Amino acid sequence: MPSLLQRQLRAAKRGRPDGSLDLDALLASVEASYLEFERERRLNDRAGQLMEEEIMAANARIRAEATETVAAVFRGVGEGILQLDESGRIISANPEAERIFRAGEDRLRGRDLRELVNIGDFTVARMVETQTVAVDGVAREVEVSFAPYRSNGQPRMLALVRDITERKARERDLIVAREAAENANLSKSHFLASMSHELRTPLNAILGFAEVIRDRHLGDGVSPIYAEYADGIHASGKHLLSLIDDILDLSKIEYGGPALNTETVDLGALTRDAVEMMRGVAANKNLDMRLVAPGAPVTVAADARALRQVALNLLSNAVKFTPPEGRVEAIVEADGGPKLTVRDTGIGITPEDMAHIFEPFHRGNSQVARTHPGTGLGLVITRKLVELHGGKIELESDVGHGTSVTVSLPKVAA
Amino acid sequence: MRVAQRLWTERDGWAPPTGAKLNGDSSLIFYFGAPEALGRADVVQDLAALYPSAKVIGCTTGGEIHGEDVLDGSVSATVVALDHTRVETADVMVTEWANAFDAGRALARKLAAPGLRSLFVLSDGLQVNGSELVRGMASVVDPRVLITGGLAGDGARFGKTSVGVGKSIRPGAIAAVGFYGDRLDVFHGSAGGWDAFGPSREITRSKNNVLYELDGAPALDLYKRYLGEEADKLPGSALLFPLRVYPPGQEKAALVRTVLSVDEKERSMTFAGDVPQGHVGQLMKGNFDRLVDGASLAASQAAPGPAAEGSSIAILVSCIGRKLLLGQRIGEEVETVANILGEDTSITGFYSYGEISPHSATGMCELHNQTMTITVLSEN
Repeated sequence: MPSLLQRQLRAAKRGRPDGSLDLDALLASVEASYLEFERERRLNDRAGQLMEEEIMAANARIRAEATETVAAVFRGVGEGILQLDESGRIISANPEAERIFRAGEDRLRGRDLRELVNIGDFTVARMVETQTVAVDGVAREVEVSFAPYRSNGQPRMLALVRDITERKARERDLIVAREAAENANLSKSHFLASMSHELRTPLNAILGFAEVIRDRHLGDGVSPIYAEYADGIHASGKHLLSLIDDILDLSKIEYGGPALNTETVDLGALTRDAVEMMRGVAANKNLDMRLVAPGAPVTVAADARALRQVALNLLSNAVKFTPPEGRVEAIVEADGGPKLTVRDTGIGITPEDMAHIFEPFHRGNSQVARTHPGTGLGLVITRKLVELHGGKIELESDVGHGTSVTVSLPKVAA
Repeated sequence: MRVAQRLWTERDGWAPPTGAKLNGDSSLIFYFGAPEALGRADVVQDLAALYPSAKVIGCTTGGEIHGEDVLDGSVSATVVALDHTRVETADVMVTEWANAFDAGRALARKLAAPGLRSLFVLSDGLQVNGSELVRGMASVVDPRVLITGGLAGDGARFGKTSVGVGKSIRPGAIAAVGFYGDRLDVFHGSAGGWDAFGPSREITRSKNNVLYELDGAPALDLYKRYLGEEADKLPGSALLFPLRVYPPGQEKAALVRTVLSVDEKERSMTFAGDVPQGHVGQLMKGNFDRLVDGASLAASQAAPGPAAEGSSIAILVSCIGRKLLLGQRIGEEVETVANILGEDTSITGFYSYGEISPHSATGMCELHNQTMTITVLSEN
């Protein structure tokens, strides 16, 4: 017996002391239970029906929104989008694709994309830079990529075509402009190099003959005043020569750099040679000149001639700007990378000059320029040479007390 | 623990007790009765007079659960003699507090004392935001104190509900009993068995427990459409389609809400708990098998352990919506629960306007709707 009927029987006996059945009550509850059952079924049916309607409406709304969104993107995007069938034939084209191919969608539809774009095949996941095949004689440069998808179970492809004609034109213009600038720089350096050479040749004659007159190589028949003038000609000529040498060096570097003849060089030994070369000049000013270097070689990969020029430039600057009785030290270190420091007890560099010290022809304040002859190119060349070696140069100075210049060079790979 | 039960009917008054002989020991009486029965001054007074040493707590219902039977128009009373556990009762009037949260806090403060193990709360079912009440109570007691209970009912009328402590019973009251001592075991279970159906809708306009709009359209219109011919039985018939509410993306924390009243002018619906704006709402529907499965699940969760000494009492708080949908077949869910809990467990309870117990997923004490919620008390 169903448990509901059992309960209904129990209820129909409740309150009857003799245990008899209240038949009217039983029939009423049985009838009510049928009605209740019907009602629950109707409610559920109605809910199911309404839910189905609601879900269908929601589904239609979502589909419409999705279609509308895709259509808006398709119309508005700045990239050509073509739907292709499996064989590569165009099904649809958006306005940007029509613009790129210079043809309406009706003329594009049904054509194989490969007739319009130079692509070998439909390689997915790779962007191809290529050209459109002119529909009406005007070709465009494009980037093309493909994405496979399915529409109603059919395999399809999207071809994304980006017009890069303007971008490519800009890139080409930039390349031309850069080459022009480089050529201009090269011709300037060529000009300087040949000019320097042309200048040195006559200057050598002037210097030679001035020396002959000054030193009275042809006898004492020259008036002392001419010998004095000849000395002036010689001194000015020497200065001009060093100026031309420096310009020649600088222009060689600017030209693209002298070809460095890189070899393994002992920075310690090289500095020792440079110190010895400068010892005579230093002795003239009664300077205390010292070398501090480790016993073991400090190897660097460098062009020995260029590096020697660096060491000599730094030492000669130090000697030049250090008053008599002063001190010049050359310190070579290996720890923390090869390093050469030239420290002097000279006049120092003011902070204002420090800011311009690596500019060509900068010569400190006029007082310094007057009392210390030079071209103003030494430090510029030095720095260029150091940088050509992949190193760097740093200056510290205390006006009136001295200057310290440190050249750091890259470690040689072990 | 020893338990005796009595049933009041209009024809016979209080019938003789069934169950254990209490020999004058009695600590606590739970009573659950039809509003018309409890409207008679003598019913509760007579009961209390029979057990002068007992604390008394009870409320009006949407149907009484007494043993394996579901009754209407009766009062089910369960008298408990506790051997190792102290009990205290207290009540507050919701009208005396700014909101249900404050009322809940005041009520819990009255009972918060060392050794407090569990609170069973009965609240007016129409004037109280049950979610707020539970939050207020939980805010002042140790998190380990279990809070269960329910909201009083008024048949399917949603007119007036009453809650009582001692001999008096009145609308707008919230009452609770506190259990003290470590030899009381409290088990609980809560499950619905309703199935969500149809589209998920956004709660686009609501304020606390008042719902105005779902997906930008009046909520009442949607309910009327689904109810069809049942629409003229609102608000009661709205319980046929509970609303499942959860924060977006957190379906696991979903709560089921039912309607307490409708406002035809505003086209709004007032729910038994919060329906926060921005949350997701989805209609639910039930059928016989699934609801009975739900009750069975709640009973398995609440079944007492083997340590129980003597008998146990199970208080079933089941939603009026279940009874409205299933009619006489609702008795099946009580029978199923009784079979799982076994003969040593005395069963009482009522059809309510809201159930209170910890959420099965979050563990947080919450107001539930449309569930069968079971609290089992035993002593070890």
